[in-house]
Amino acid sequence: MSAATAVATDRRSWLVKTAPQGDVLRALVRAALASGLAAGAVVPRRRSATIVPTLVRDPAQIGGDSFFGAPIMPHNLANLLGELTFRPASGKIAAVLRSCEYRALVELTKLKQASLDAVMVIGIDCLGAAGPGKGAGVNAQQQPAGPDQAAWRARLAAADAAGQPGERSACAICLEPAGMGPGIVAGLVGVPAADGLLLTAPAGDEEAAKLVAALGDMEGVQVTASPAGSGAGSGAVAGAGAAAAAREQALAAVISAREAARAAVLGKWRAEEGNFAALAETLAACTGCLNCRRACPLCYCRECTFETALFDHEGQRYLSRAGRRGALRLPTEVMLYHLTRLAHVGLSCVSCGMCESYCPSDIPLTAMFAALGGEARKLFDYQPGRSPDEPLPLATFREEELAPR
Amino acid sequence: MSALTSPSPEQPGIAAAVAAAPHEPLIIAFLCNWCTYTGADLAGTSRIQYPPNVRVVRVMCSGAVDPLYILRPLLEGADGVLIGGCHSGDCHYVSGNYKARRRVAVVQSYLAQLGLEPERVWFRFISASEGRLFAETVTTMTETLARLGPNPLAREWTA
Ligand code: SF4
Ligand code: SF4
Ligand code: FES
Repeated sequence: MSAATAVATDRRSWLVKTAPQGDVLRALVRAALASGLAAGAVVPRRRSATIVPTLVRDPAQIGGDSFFGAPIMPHNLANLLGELTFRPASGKIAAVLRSCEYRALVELTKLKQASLDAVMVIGIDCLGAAGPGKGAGVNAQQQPAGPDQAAWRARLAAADAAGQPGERSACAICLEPAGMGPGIVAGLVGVPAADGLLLTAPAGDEEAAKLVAALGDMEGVQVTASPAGSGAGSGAVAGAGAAAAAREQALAAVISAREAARAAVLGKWRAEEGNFAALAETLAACTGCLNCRRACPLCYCRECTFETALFDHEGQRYLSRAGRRGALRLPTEVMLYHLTRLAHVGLSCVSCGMCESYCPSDIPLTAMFAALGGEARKLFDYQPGRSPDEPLPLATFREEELAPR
Repeated sequence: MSALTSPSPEQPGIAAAVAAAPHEPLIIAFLCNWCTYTGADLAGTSRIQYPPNVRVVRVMCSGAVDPLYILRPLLEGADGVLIGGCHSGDCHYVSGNYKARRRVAVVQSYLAQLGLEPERVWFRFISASEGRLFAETVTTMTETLARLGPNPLAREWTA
């Protein structure tokens, strides 16, 4: 079940306006810090032609250069949140997360490399982002538009059923554009900027209620609430409910277009790349740099086997391996590395595409992991990031399953 | 991984085995110390005949067999990988065998998706007293692999 389908029934919604318009996410994170609900916040700051994730404690530091939900993704933030919460501090860290970042955080928490409980997740809709070093075009806009600002909302509004291509190949086939998380979600898609920013949260979420109250107390912020369960109503109350419904509808259109795109990409991959000979061709350009593993939020080993001396051999051994088949690819173990990575993290892969974004050789790793990992996940009906309570498929078992018995 | 760590042609290993008998399947076996390894030993001391196609690596538990250990021999051209573990409920580390079973299923899924026969990877529960079952398993596996033919990856310089 996607977060989008859960919105109408058991969630509260609020429409929030700021003066000047489009400052809601900044105000929300400021409120989280000022109210003490969060001890720190991860804030993307505009610098040069990109954004720099920054750990901020002083709400006054969240100014015009804060760019929450920027259509640039130099990292999967789950990776950085893993560092901050691997040994959690006493207070929470607020972070505005895309769906793939939240899902990675869930998986990383199961891997005991992060703590979801130590993060105040503010989920945010995302229709695509550029990768590291590729954000200049987007970022060169005159107006430093945040996602809750008019310029960015216009961009989202342009995403119709024909499908927004997304900035990266992973985004173009992403089926989970809806913001998700245990608490507050900022809904951007389908809600006109003039109406304000839509926030939703589970009906019983006290932390979210406190946060929205703190937000409402801030200067220049106007919050209109829609009580839990009310899709229809009158006046201002109808506004938030209607916005939530409009968002769901817009998201559904995006998702259905993406479903077709994803099926096409994965179908093509299976048909053309789904054999060892083709895979060897695909991986021919792999330099063995291991950037993909460093970019991946889920590659959980503190030190990768392929970075150790395990595969450093005596010269004679290389010669004998080459002698066996007449020749040997250098560097060695490239195929082994990718298959091992698939075996280790393929089931938890959230399709964020950071591996591909970091690859200097443009190897289509997103499709490779989505196709191969997606099929393997069917063995255990596992969907990465779906629920923090679902155990990792390789860390659990049932006595009566598979073979041998 | 004794077979794999004996690389020079003078030593018995994959290189020697493949060169000497190119049509004889080569099986790399990872056997749990507490059950199948002892079972294999029993087959030997009981003089039960089985094909000489298997190179045994002793592991402390089938749960210690990382997918890497299964993939490496296959990419290096071994024809099959056998993992031997304790029967249900008998794993000395409680659930190593059950977890191994899931890992093997995942590796088999990847192999199948990439067009290599998943039947090249066998996981069997064989106890310390089942010397005969071990011998039968190696016999059947050798026959199966002979039928499948040589691992095509053995010829690939890019694998
Ligand atoms: S394997 Fe690639 S797409 Fe999958 S989670 Fe890791 S970085 Fe993201
Ligand atoms: S980032 Fe690209 S080149 Fe580097 S190891 Fe990964 S696939 Fe190979
Ligand atoms: S101890 Fe034998 S399989 Fe775990």
